[in-house]
Amino acid sequence: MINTYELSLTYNQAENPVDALRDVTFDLAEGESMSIIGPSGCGKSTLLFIIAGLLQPTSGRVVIDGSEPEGPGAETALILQDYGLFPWKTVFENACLGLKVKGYKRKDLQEIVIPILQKLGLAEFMYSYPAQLSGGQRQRVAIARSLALKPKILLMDEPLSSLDALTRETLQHFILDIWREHKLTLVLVTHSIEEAVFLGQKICVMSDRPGMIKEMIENPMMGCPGFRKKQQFHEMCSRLRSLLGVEQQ
Amino acid sequence: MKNNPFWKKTLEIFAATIVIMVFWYLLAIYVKNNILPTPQEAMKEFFMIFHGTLWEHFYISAYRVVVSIIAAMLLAVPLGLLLGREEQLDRYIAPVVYLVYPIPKIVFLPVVFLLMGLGNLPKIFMIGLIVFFQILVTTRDASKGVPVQNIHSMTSLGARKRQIYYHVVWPACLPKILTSLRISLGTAIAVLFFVESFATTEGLGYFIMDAWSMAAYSQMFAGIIGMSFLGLILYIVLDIIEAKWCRWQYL
Ligand SMILES: Nc1ncnc2c1ncn2[C@@H]1O[C@H](COP(=O)(O)OP(=O)(O)OP(=O)(O)O)[C@@H](O)[C@H]1O
Ligand SMILES: [Mg+2]
Repeated sequence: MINTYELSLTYNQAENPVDALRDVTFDLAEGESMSIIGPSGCGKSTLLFIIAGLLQPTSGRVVIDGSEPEGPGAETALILQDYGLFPWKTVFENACLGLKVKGYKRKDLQEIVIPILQKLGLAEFMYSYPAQLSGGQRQRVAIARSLALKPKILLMDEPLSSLDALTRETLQHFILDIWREHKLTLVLVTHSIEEAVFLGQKICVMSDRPGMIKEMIENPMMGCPGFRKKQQFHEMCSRLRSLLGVEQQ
Repeated sequence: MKNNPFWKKTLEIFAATIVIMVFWYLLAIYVKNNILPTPQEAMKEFFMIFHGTLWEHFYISAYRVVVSIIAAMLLAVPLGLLLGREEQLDRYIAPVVYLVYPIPKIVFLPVVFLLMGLGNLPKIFMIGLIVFFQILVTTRDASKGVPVQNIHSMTSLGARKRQIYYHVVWPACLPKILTSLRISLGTAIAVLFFVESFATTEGLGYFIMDAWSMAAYSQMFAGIIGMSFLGLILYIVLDIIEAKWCRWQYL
């Protein structure tokens, strides 16, 4: 469970301080999913980093499962858009990294990570380097690494934005499956309206900088079979579109 | 065998050697002065005296260069990695580096000889000092350039500082560090020649200067060939290390 109370954050640069977030308050129940969408530079990544414990808010607090985390928690996994994988480590080493950092033994690493890689269809690439994989495969490695940690909360910052439309859709279904199967609490930052609707039970629409919550939309149909083809899906998308002010342009 | 990088490299070096030899030969014919012997004469001399006298000079020179580069590297690399990431530390040390880096440190050679005597130590110190700054500056810049997202992604996995250095900063900077070593190698051998041309009777630098003073030009060129070999061998060692440790760079 994630609760945030009036989170604000100002980046204190030497010249001009940047108000990145202002009074962001929301609650996300355990096992729920939320997508965050908003104009570029409105503070989405910042918000995610605060939840992940990588940044301290200037004011306000984050409560995860009833307590305020100090630094990155064991329950939380973060997937970044581009820089998450290390090009100098093989797929297997990358996927192990979280466990290794926590001091797991070599034998345990294999026992935990290999089944996950198999399930994500990456077993044959275990000893390849990220540069030898496609973009979609790379994102799956990043997901494998997070899953190896058995997190309760999965935070994703535009995980699919560098992929082509087809791969993107495949991986959206894939994320949906993983979310269900592992009963994760999911927070997903995205630029894509369809993705936000497809993967968020709640959709958090943010305003331009300083990022505030413009509207929190309930999306109860999320995850039902064939949602993408349904009337409600398209209605939800157009609603988001007008909220984000896309039509006028 | 065609695609084996080892053979390819060997072939390339061989071909390049022949090209250089041809130019050398043409130049020698043109100059027609025994101060520039033909490559055949020089090579013949080289193989004749290598086992007798040249080998010992080669060995001591190799020792001086290798020890000074390794010592400089062991100090400069960790310090550079730290300076690139720890702003507090960098704020104090960067201005010092900034001031000292452009000073041609070779001018302190007399002082170093006076303080450290005439043995190996001042020579190693001098080469090491010069090379240290080259490695330090490159490593620091590389370390500063590690994307903050890389660090974030490691921190979010719960990594401590030491682990971030080990898993991210060091491997990310390694290719640039090896490049700086390659550049330093050229510098180190140039400085080696200089420090060996005074007050010593050992080393390739001495050997070359000594042959020169006796007008034994074939011998002098045998020494020059020895020095070139020294550089080439060390260069190849760096290449091998890079191929082993930075395989991911060449995929
Ligand atoms: N380290 C930093 N120092 C100073 N300002 C920053 C820093 N990181 C982000 N900002 C500023 O804070 C604001 C929010 O940044 P953030 O990265 O959270 O935006 P975002 O919503 O994720 O954007 P995008 O959709 O383009 O990824 C931006 O205006 C940015 O300029
Ligand atoms: Mg962002």
